[in-house]
Amino acid sequence: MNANSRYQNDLINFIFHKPGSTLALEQEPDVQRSIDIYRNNLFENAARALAITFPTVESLMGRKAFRFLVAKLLQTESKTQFDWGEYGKCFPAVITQQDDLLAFPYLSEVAEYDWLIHQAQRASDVIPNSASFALLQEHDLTTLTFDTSAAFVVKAFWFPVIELHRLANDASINALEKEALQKNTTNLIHNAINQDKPRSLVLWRPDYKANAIWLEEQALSAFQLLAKKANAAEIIAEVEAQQIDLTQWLSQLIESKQVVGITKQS
Amino acid sequence: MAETFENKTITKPKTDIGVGLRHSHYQQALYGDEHIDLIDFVEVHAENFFAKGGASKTLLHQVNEKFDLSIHGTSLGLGSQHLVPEFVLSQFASLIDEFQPKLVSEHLCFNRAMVDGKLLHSGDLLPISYDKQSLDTIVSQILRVQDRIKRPILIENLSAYLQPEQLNEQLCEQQMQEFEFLTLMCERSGCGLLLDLNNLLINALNRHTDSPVSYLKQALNELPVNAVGEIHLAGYSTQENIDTIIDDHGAKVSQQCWELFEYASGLFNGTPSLVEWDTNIPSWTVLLAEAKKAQQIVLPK
Repeated sequence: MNANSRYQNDLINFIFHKPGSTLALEQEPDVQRSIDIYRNNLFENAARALAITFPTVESLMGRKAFRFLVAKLLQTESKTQFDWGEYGKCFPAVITQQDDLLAFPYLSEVAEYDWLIHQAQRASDVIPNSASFALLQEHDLTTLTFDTSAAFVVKAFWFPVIELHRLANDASINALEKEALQKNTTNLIHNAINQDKPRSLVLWRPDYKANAIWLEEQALSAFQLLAKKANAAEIIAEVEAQQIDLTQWLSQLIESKQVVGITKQS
Repeated sequence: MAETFENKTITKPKTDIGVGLRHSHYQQALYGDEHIDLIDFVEVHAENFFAKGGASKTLLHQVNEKFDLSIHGTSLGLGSQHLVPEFVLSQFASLIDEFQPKLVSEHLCFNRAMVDGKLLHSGDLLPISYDKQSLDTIVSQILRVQDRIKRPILIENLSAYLQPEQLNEQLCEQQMQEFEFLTLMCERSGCGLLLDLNNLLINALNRHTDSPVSYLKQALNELPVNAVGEIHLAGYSTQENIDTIIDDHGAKVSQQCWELFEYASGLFNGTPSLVEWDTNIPSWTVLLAEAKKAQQIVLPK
């Protein structure tokens, strides 16, 4: 290892508090002060980035508590990403590990949901192809798949994450609506503890803003097949098995841009 | 020694003035008209537009319809001994290719190292050593980037809180002066310089240099005039009870920086100049007021 590599490794080691560098810092107070500045820069950059990625968590916890969690995350998840927008996947797990947050059992799921939304906002765009729906008339349905919107995903949550996200981030709701939403959300949180299974939502990004809705139990299996890219025949069979009106179901999905086209598999 | 500015009769071409565009400014920048006759270009950070999809690039195209763009990278770490991974360079090159900005820049820094088998990224701009091996590394990486983006890049001088030889004594004997290093880097790679006056000031103040503005004016005379492709101005927040000034780019341009800019803008005639303000983000109006001050300095008298 050349002298520059040694220096760069040592500085990165110090900034991330990793053992194994070649210098005993306690003998070098000037150097210690400089390292502290770079450590603080890392922390402040992380706090800024994670406040963007996890806005609902920050809103619910308040700035001071959020910053405490950021420090915990930096200890747990090494920053290997070049892009701060890709950092923070372990944040929900870090929240779960904090005994002080046991009184807020929904917080970890809120972080998961914030992460999903954040990734959805950055996901590759999907170009709708309405002409492709004609393929449904022309080809064997086992050879066709539905094209879903950007970031289309089905995920289960115990707590009302959609409502909590809206409360924290939707500036358009008025005071009355907010009060009603707050009341409903509090009830849902209390009910969640007594549920025997979680609820599932579907999240997708039709244009630039991610959308999410809770799924009816009856429709869940069909949506799960859609998310798995099952073929059209399988999905349609499941919709009909669940006694859901296929035309209405598909129309709603197309209108809401959850489904944006059809692809023929080769 | 280069001819000093005071001895020259200078005919001043128009100097383009820019500002760092941040998220909170988009609405006014895109739909207002305060900026007309004040700014010619805006700077954005490359990494904010690395997402595969979504609104960010659409927004940047809208910005580009109104302003010339300067794309300023902060994550390539071209001075790192662990070379720029291909996937990062691809993202950067793809952005440049899509937007064809007026200016492209990065920093004279490193930001990552392999630790316990993992490539750790500091998320910061860390100082490199000014020695031959370090010069070879950064020149080769600059050439690699320029080959990919098919144009020269500007490299920005850094504010630094330590000198590499403080962590590794082996580097002590090999150090060049900063401007000597920068000049050689430009000569060997064909890149240009993004001269950050605030960073020069921060370093001089933290090193307790006597009469830092006079010192830096003299030092600027040593730079090859044609190498300077852009000038940055910035300020720093007032910090009490600490020995070291933190370069937060978080305040109005300091009086010392203005004084240095007046000198530098004469020396490096017609060089695009940008007001940076990266933290404690001001309103668009306040930022434009800083741009106006810069414009008044560079206007032909």
